[in-house]
Amino acid sequence: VNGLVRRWALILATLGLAAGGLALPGAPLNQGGPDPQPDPDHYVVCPDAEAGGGFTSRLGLASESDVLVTAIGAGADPLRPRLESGTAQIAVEDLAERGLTPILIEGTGTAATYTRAGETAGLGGCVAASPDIVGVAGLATSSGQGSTLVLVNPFAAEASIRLEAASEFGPDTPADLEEVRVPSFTTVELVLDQLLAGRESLSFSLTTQRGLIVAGMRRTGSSDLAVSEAVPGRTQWFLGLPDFGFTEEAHIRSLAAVDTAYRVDSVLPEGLVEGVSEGVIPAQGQTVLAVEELAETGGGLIIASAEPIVVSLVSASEEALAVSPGADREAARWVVPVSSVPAEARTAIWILNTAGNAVNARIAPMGSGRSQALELAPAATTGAIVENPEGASILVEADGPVAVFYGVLSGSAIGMTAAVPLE
Amino acid sequence: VAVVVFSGPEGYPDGALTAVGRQVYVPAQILVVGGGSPPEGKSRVAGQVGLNGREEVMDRLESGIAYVWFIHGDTRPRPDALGALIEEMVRNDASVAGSKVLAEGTEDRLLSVGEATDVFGEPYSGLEPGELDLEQYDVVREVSFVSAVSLLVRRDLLQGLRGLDPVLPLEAAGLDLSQRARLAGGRVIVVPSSEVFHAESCSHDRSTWRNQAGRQRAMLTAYRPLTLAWVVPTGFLVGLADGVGQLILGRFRPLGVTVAGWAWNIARLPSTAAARRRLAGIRQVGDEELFRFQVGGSVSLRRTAAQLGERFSRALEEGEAESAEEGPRSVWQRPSAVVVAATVIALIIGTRQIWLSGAPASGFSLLPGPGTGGLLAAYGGGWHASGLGSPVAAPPIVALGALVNLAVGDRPALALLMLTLGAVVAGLWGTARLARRIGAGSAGSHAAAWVYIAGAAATTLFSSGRWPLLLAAGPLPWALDAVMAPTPSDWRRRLGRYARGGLAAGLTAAAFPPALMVVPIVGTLWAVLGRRFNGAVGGLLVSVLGLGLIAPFVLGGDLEPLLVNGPIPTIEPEWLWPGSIAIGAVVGALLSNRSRLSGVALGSVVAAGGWLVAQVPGVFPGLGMAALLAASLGGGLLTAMLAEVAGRARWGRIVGGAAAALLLVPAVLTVAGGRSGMPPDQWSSRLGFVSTLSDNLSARVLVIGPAADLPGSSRRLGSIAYRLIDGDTATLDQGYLPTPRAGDKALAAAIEAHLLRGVDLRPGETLADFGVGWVAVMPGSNLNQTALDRQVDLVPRPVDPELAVYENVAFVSRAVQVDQPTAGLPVGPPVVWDWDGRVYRGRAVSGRIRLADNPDQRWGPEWAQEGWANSISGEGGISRYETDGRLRIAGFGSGMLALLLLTSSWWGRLRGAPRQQPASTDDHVGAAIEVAQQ
Repeated sequence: VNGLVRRWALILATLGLAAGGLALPGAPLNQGGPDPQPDPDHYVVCPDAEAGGGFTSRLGLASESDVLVTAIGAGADPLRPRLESGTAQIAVEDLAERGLTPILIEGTGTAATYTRAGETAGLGGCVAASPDIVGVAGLATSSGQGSTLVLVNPFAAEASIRLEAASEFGPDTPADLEEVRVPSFTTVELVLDQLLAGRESLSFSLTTQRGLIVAGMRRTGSSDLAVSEAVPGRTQWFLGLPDFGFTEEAHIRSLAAVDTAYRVDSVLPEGLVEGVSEGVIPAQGQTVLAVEELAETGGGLIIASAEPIVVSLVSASEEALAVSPGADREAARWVVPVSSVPAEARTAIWILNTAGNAVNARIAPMGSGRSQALELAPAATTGAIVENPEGASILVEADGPVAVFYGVLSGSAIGMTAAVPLE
Repeated sequence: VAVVVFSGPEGYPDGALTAVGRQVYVPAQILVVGGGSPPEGKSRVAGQVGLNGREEVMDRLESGIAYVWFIHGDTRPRPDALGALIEEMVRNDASVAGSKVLAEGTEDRLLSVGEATDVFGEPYSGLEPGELDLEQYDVVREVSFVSAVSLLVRRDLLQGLRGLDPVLPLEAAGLDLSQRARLAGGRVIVVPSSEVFHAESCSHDRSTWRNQAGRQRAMLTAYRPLTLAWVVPTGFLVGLADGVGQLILGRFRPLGVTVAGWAWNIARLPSTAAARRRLAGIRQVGDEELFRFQVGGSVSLRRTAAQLGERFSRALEEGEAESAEEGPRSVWQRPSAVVVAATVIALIIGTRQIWLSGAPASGFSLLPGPGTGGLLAAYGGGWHASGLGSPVAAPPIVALGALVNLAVGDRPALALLMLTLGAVVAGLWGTARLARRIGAGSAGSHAAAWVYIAGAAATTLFSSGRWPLLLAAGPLPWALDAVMAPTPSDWRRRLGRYARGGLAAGLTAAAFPPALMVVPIVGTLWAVLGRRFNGAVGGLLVSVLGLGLIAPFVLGGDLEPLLVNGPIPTIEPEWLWPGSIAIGAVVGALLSNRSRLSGVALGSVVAAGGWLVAQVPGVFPGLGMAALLAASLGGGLLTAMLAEVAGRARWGRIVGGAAAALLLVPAVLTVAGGRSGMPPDQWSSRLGFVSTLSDNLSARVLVIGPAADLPGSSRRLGSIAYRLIDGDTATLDQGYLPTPRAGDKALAAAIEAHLLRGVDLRPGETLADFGVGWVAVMPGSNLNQTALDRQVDLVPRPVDPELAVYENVAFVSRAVQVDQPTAGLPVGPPVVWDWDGRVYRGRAVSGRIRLADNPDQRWGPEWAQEGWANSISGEGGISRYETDGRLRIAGFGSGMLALLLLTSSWWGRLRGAPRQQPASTDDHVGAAIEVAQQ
């Protein structure tokens, strides 16, 4: 009997231990806390910066922290000035030899633009690299015009991107350009004049396969040039239409892999007119809209789409040419990192108010103590030439959401870009 | 016929002469060599002539003598022995004939029926020990040689051969004469119908060094030069190998005999050369005629191998009562030997990749660091250079690795291999012993060993890179064996046993300190379940001794990193282990006989309880893994009991076997893997790019990856695991990262800010402050690549297809001058010092040197803290860490205790110590049952 009790006690004890272990949820895996997420980009790259003779070339900065400025591809031990926080300008010639010299600006809360002034004028935005697909529109190679795509890799890791071009002929990517390798700390210039000759309008989407790049474009006309940067796709874009007397076109490029419906709303003095133009852009295709058929000078356009697109405003006259990406949002506070000085070019700012009511705005060169008050008429673009002898960056504050654009006027030449929203 | 009787030290060969006098075939002359005078009251036998030496024999033979019969003084020939020899020699036209030799005092125990040799002259009788004469060899046949115990030779041939070689002992002289006779064209036969009795303990003992030397001389005399060219060197090496084998068996003499034999022959080369010349004049046949009667291979090596196998088998089954059936049989005829052989084969198969490619460096299985740094860090109060370093004592496994590495001459790969294989072998061997201790038979004990070392629980642990647990698994069963064995009545053996247990417990603790807790717990369980109450006390005692062996770690170590480093690996599928144990426990409980029930209970409770502990949420991973190791041992012991369930019905044995097989199947799969369950190699050479791509060997590598794949332990930031490695090799002394200190916290903040959040584009600049020259990201890490994609000073290097390696192009140095004087002097590059694993060295400078290690005031000279790092004076050109005297004394104490335990263990096992008698009938129940089953 004793032995039998021992045997059953053993069975019960073992079964109890095994069942207890199975019933327990098991030791939890130590997953640690939540993973820190990457900060917003603390740098921008000016892809179109160029040093040379016969023109001046400047960077304008506005930053919350000290910044470190480095010319990309300027040798093994480049001059690397460190600038204090706030607003500053720096001549590209001080950083690099002649030629295309993209500039990397490291600092927290940094906004920057690049201005080239002289007989020709160009104004380009400085942006951070995006891991998402980006696009650039407004290029052309017909009628004596030339275009160059600029791919900048300011980082230590090699990058590889896939390019998809579109023109008035539809998908238009030369086999040579389908995949482009951009070594670290290197700039690749793709001159399109021969490869894609005779295109009246050209646009590109750029998909990063490895690493990161910043892209820009340079378009030369008969007597002026335009520079612009590639930007990520959005489903809504704002274009302000200043009264400079130019012929203007809206170049819309789809970044989607499917056909994309779009709608253009026109900002007119009588208010917002919806659906002045509607259509479908083929996958990775583009369309060009003549602005004069859609809106009035001094008004604006709002272009919305189902899939991400990029929109550039191409402004041209016989002597002037400018390509500017639209603003991808409205905001109450904007900064204009002014990269021009009055001796070389005038600074112009225009503000699109899409609301049906008037909006009060204040334009203030940073650190100057001066400011200029503006009343923005409802559903209109209000332009102003800003007196800014110091060349300081300009803060634009409004009591309603607006879209702000920045332009430089050098003789009859002009450059345009969107300002940088602060919220 | 003339009879030549060789008297020995025993004096006048009265008995032999009497026997000769009774011969049917009456000899014409009797010569006694060295025999002295007959004892008082005895008269000389007719025809007897006394000779002083062998040299006189030929001169004293009378003219009519045709045959000479040599016999030992202690030989007792039957009356017809000489007649049979003469008759067969004539009939077979032989030149030399020998008798069948039987042991004196017996009627039929064979000592020799003609003999063979191997090519080196080692005699081989072909008889089993104690073999009886059943007339199985009764046929006249040619043999390699016949013993001089009774050897008849034709006089004319003897004349030509110039008699027996006078410088050789009698046994060797018989061999020499036989070989020379054969080379001269004669036949050497054995005549079984001629029987002589001979004392086993003969004064002409063939095992003396002189006989060995004589046999070598016989070969040197007989063989042609071509044969000698390979026989001599091979023979020398075989002798050495045999000597070493005998050394392992604790016999020093054979090696000495080999050396002395060759020395003797070298001294007598001139006389050997003369003997060769004499033989050349009468040689009729080649060496092939000798080879015909020789056995292949080396007789001595075969004998030594058999003895080693015997010793191994006995050691494995120590405590087993030698049964009447098994005792006299050769080792390979025992069932247990077959099981041992199967285990050895399985061991070779199961560790083949380790033999062929070395032990894999992965997880905590890392190459020991060079030199004595590890020893100093763990037992000498030195700097524990893991991560950014720490003053606390390194885990003792670091010292274990360093000691073995020193022992093998600073060959880290060999040291790792030896540690790994040593642990596997020790674990198998120890578990087999332990299983027998609780009542298992041969097959069961070996099954237990494999379930313990390669079963589901063990493989789960080892395959997750928990190499220290594999190392602990080796000595653990030995510690338990000392605890669970019946207490010897003799205090000397008792002391020796506990000393051995303490050593084993210390090794277990050195490998993985939390595993030591298994010893007292299992000891106590055995005390309760097996009613052996000394188990509880013994468990505590050997555990305390074990703790004494890791005194520096106990006093100044850092247990937390060992306890919290997880997670606990999970046995998959989840039901496998509890299911197998539950089935095994039910089968064992219902079908085992009473004597094995305690073993079943111990195995079941430990296997299920250990697994349960590992499942408890929140349990320290270190404790959970130690519990899983205990569960593995319990599973093994249960398997041992199940493998030999003594059910009355056949179905009972089948069910028991099936339950055991359930636990054994994972072990079979592990053996098939060939790596003893360890993961594939990851880190033996993976960081080699540090030395091939850079001169800065002091630079650290920041490795980011899944915690399970990183070398050793790691730190966490969210779900991201990382760690620092010094230089180009992840070494064992860096395996365990100590508790984070100021530098580690600063590094964590830097990684979070610069590599995870990407607050700037220059993470390399920040990491350079920590001496990080490289960043390596493993596949499967949760690192968001965003920050690494958008930075400018960590340059990717394509050195490894699976590892994303970034070189830090910012200025990196672990030790750099920080207050470079600039007044009036051109500013040059800062002075940097190199780290050699123990000290920083470099050019002496007048300023301060910043050392990128966790701050500690024992660094010097003139230490000051600089941020999270150290600052020292650069004037001496060297910076050392002053060892902690308290820990050094503790380390010395541990060393002394280890020596004491070793000595006590050895002393307690000396032959003089009385053997333990079984305390009760079921002490060796396993062996007894096995015998009964046979």
